[in-house]
Amino acid sequence: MTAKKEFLSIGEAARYLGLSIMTLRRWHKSGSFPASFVSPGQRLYYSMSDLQRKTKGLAQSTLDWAGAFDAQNLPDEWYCPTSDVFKARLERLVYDLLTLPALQDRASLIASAAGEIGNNSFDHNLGNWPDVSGVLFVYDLNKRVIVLADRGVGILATLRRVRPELATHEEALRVAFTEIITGRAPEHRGNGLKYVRRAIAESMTSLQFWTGNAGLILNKESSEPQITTSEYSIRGCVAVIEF
Amino acid sequence: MKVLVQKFGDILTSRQSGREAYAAFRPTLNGLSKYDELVLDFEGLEVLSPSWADEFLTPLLQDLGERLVLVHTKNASVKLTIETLEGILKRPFIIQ
Repeated sequence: MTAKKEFLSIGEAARYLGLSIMTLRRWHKSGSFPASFVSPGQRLYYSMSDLQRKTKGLAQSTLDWAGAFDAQNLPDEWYCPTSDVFKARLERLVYDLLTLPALQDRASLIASAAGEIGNNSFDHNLGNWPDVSGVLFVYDLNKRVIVLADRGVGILATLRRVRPELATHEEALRVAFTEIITGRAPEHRGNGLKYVRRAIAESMTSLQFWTGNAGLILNKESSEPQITTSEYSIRGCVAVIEF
Repeated sequence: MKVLVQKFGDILTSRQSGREAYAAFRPTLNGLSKYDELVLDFEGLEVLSPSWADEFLTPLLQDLGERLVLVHTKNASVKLTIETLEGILKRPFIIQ
């Protein structure tokens, strides 16, 4: 019986990813996808978990992270431990979006939706993070996707502070995206996702959002959110914006 | 009195920075007579969101009412943020 290999050589890793060895060497040198392990003889080796993360994409990696009992390590550059780091990375997103000519008119709406989702995570979980504090925030301009996630208390627990009758994650998601909430005056917390819904519609983008065992889809074809029970069990929230 | 909102930053999205901006700006209002308008100019702003605006614009609207005037609001996120706040506050802003 042969044990499943934990580490692949650079040739095996290149075949696994469908890339050339030259490309993997270049990614290792630039730091964009470094080898998992370098032998004393300078041979590059790649772990199966790093290769799987590379192939399954940002959204799936983030869903796995937000759904896991124990948070797995994800790349540091995906992670914003504080709102200041999130703010700096959001500014980077805005300038990157503005480099794409097709997005000139829509960049402000896309970025403000991402900002509202990320800032909500910090505002609603301050002093209350169950395990990992902060927000995952990563985007890929080539794939036209922005992913945000937190391992906070989630929408249901947040809204129950002002709407204690809410019973399920689906109900909470519907209220968060469709009803104006009157909370503690003079603050109006809890209304950010209504804005996100309109920003997604006006920018002709799409949003998938998960919290607890509920999932929501807003797409270009319909401004009405589709809310269903999802196959995931998310601690906190995950949002995927495709533009 | 006219104030360029962009002086608080190009990208204004969080409640925390909205609160800080309002706290820093509030003493300036002491120089405004009870007949003067405060004109907030959104020219050059890249991104605005309701969280920042709720901390900055909402108290100004409550203090000044019709003496608060908003100009150059055509940026898509500025326009939608103002409409969203109007929906929550159930009160219109004066936009020129």
